[in-house]
Amino acid sequence: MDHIEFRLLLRYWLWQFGWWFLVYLLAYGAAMWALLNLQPGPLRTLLVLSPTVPGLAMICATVIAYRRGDEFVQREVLIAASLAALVTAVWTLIYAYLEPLGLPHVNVGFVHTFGWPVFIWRMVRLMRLRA
Amino acid sequence: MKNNLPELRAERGWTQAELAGKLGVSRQTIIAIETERYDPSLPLAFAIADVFKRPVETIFFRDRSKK
Repeated sequence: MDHIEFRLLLRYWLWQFGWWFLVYLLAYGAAMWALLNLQPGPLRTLLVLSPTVPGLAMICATVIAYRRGDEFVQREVLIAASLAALVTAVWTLIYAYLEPLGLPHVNVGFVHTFGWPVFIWRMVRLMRLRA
Repeated sequence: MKNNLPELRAERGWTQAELAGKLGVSRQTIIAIETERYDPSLPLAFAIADVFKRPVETIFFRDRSKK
């Protein structure tokens, strides 16, 4: 794989991941709305489950980029994933103790909205690497 | 680890993209190695040595300022 293909690969990743992330946020909003406003039924089930599709698509796009990347790109993707997981873990740990103190109960899917931006920031940083 | 990749590349008049193409890696990798943000694996270091037709120890060397 030459350098042009790598550049296209990263651009493809950003395009795919960016769109799926936007869809994820919209689906998450729809899922929360359905949970609060709809009676149990097929539409509610469909809307509540809808964020899983873009979520899995984001993960698939990243796995593809990882598998096709060279050693440095693979290392950077792993660092990005590790940082995202770390932020998610810290956020989850802190909120687990804030909630009993009176903060509202949130869906576990909400923690993703904190981890993914960290991951995106690291990947964009990789793409914009300049000498 | 320090390296003289930028000088060797300049001697040959290659761009970072051209060197990346010869090695089959991304331009980001070449940038990261040249700016010493990334130490390449041994296989990649030897591949770089092969491209420049020089022993690997004349391209990469220890940074004595670091322990």
